[in-house]
Amino acid sequence: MKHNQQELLTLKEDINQMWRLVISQVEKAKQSLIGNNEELALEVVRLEKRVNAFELKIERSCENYIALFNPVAVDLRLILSLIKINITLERIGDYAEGIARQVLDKDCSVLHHELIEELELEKMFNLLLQMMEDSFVALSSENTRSSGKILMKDKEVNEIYHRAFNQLEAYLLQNPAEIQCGLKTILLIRKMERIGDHCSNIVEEIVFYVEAKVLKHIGTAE
Amino acid sequence: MIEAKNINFYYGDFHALKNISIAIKPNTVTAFIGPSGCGKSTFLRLFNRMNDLIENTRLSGECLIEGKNIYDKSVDIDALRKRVGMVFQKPNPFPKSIFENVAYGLRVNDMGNKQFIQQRVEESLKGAALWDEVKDKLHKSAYELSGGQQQRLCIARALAVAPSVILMDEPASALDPISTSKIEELIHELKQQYTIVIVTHNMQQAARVSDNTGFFMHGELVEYSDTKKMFLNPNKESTQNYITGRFG
Repeated sequence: MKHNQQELLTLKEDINQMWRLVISQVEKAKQSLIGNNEELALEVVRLEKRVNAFELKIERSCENYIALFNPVAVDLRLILSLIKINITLERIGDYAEGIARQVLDKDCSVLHHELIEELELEKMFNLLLQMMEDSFVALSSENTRSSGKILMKDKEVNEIYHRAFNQLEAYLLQNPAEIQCGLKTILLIRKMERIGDHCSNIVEEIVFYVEAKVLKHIGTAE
Repeated sequence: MIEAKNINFYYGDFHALKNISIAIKPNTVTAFIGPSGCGKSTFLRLFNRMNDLIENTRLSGECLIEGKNIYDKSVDIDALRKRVGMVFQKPNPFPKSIFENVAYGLRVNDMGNKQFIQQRVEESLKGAALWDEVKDKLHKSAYELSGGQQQRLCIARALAVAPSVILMDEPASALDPISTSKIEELIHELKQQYTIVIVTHNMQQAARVSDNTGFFMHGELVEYSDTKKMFLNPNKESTQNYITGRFG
């Protein structure tokens, strides 16, 4: 394998490692929230440092690759995509950390189990994890066949988000004493909704890399 | 407009260009890229019939400039080469003064009086972005100039006879980065007035200077498209393999 291709392979391996870390952050954030598990929440917070370190490493590697190898065509598209995916994964990690910190928040650490169920937070988390895993596979296999399905999952996430908003409003009208926790819960589901948006952005970047198509602002995969 | 239609070219038995057709718009820069021996320079030299000077060659197809087949028997080759100037890889100034190098084409073609020649030399040197550097030493030997200046002098010499097309065969490959940058900037300026076709091994140079790029391999024009498209998303896998360095 040529030197420049080896560099690209190393870069892909780095982004894959970062991706696995972020998936495990989101998975642990889910478990910590649903099981009110502080230990797992702390682990999500701890992982954030490693994710940040990956972000810096990958950013530097991309800069170096552009400066040293003048990539064009598919290589250029890969580097441009990785730069954006790198930033996006780091943000997803931030959101997972934010969710975990809410679990650690002593004032409002326990969401009523019924509320979690009613808001479909577990289902929302599962959709997000599927989106992350499927997009991981799409990049690794350079295959965009699943892109439409992944983007559709984001629609499902958005629907749950909007429903949850209304349900939460009704819940708080009945339980006005819980207004503080209610507001924090809005922030929490907002973070989850944003993770879905970021997963969609990642899919768009993968399609740009593999097919040289720009899906941005179209809304659905072509 | 330059147009090649079904060009086949042979060096003896060797089929160097295989059924190539291409259309080049006026006032554009077109770059030809491809590995050594792929036929890009051979194809470039067709446009001012430089290949005529090589023995035992054969051509079929049509090569039209402004609608006229330049291989038609009625074509005056000297007149053609005035319209289609050429700049080579290695600067090749004549052993004359800077002024006489630029004036040479005008004198041998009996183009204008002394005043006209002086004016045209100045215009050509300005057009080649060399005037400010040589205006005080016009009668010094061209050999006193640096490599980059000599190459721009050769471009000025080509401009002096008022061509409409300029062919460049790796014009910056023997130059340092500063001189290369000047030549590239010059190409960008010259396309306002001339149609430029350039052969280069430097793919980044092709990407920087050209509007359209043709990729040659084994005597075939594999792909010819907008340069931005070529370098972001080429149509053919072999083009991608070549420009990303996977080739070979």
